[in-house]
Amino acid sequence: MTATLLQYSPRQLRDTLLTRGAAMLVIAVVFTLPILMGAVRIPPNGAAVLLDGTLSAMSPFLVMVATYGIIGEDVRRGYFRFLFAKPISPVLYYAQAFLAALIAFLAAQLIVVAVFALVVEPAWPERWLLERTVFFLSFGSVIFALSRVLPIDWLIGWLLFGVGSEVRDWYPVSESLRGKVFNVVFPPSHLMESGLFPVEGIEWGHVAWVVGYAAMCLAIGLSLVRFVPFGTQR
Amino acid sequence: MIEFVEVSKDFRNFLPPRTTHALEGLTVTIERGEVFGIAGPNGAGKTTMLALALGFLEPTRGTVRIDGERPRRHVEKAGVAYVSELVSIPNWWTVTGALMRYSVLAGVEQCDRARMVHEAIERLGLEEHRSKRIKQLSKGNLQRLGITQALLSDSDLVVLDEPTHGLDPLWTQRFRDIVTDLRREDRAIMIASHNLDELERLADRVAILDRGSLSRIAGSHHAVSGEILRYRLVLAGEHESVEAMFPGAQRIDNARQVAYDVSGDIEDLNARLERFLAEGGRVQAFFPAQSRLEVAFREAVGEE
Repeated sequence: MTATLLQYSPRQLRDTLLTRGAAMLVIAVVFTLPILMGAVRIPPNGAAVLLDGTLSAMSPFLVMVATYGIIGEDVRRGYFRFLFAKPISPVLYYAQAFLAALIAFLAAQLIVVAVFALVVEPAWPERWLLERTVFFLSFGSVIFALSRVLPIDWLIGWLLFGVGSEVRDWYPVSESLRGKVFNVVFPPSHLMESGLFPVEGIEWGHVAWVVGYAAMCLAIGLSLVRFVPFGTQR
Repeated sequence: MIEFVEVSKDFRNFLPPRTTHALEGLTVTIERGEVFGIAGPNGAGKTTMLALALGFLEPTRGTVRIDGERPRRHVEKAGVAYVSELVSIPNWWTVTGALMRYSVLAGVEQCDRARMVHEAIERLGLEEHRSKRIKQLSKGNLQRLGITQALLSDSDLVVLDEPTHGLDPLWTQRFRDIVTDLRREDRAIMIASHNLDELERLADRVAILDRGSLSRIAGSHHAVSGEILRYRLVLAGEHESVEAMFPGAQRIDNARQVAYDVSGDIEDLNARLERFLAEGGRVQAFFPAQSRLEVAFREAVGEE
């Protein structure tokens, strides 16, 4: 079963790139064009910082495009019928689809890095792969978990991050039990806003929190795939 | 092979609050080597029954088992050759591309894939469409593609939901041949269809569902001695002794041929036909005017 799905993985990646690649490239162009056109002044020795900022700014949009409807589209459009009449595990299928989305996301960012190197100057943001992968996991996993049960997963995912920030301001963790609960339930947007990988030193506790939250969301999403029957609508 | 025991399925709607009983207390066993038909009016629960067999739905009450396992577990292990009523395939895939993908997922060995896909395409007459995208296919061709992808696997369970939906008469006939070829001692075939004629030709037994309940299971389709059925007798010319020979024969007035509807037990009718032919009558055709399944269906759903 696993071998079958591994053989299928290049096709899953191709589907992700074909159906979502164009939108991801548009996002990359929108964020990069001002720099490429020379509208943004590059500080001396600051190309890597500028590139890092650009890649960070476009990341939420790229993750959204890479993951929206990742499970839900197959259910709503009925593609699941032929797919899951075959001897494969839907759980592994969607875990692999999530991985394909991560690769597409990183590929879009690498294209930006390559174009930046050609047009501006070669630069490589420090800890790019680690930082972007953790970001993808944190935001993408929330959309993934929502995708099985909600049609506008990307919007609700976005709202959860936004509402999480506000709720943490209203109910500080140190002041009430409610604050502690909200802190666990809502996505760790407060940790991501301040940057998980500052040059002065990585807060590994924060990284573990973000990755742990992502793992929990992925587990919820995969459990929904496993336990909620696909044909729930009549 | 497949066991439904006291299976009920409810669909709940929250806004407005409403519960639909799609299936109610269904108990039936489908054996290997059997072609099992499912008939019923719209909303009778045919598709729900198949979705339960595939594990796409879980019963609200009761159990469904395939070889003693939960359906989902069995499907994930062995796969099912499945054709759905609505063929949904991503519309940017090509015909060959889609079949290659499904063959990978069906576990076909890499060295056999291209050959199997080629053969399946030929068998379902999709050669001229092989490079087309799914969105360019007509409804009938899409349905044929749905059947083709099911043929790629060598599953011991075949589930067909309105498989001839959208097929022209030629392909409907060919589809029947395909199902006949699919028959195997170790394989169970389930077919849900509105087309009673199709079920009568293909299925060994037909479950008639009505509003979620199993009304009856119609068995063998061979006429049984002692059973009174209606047949149509078409003659090659007028003959004065028809009505005397077949008491109660009703002439079909609007036919452009000399035709009568006659009723009776098959043994008795054969004897009368023999006498009729001996007296110079010339018969062009003699066939059931109303199929046994149709009779059973009308009785089951409460229609005369």
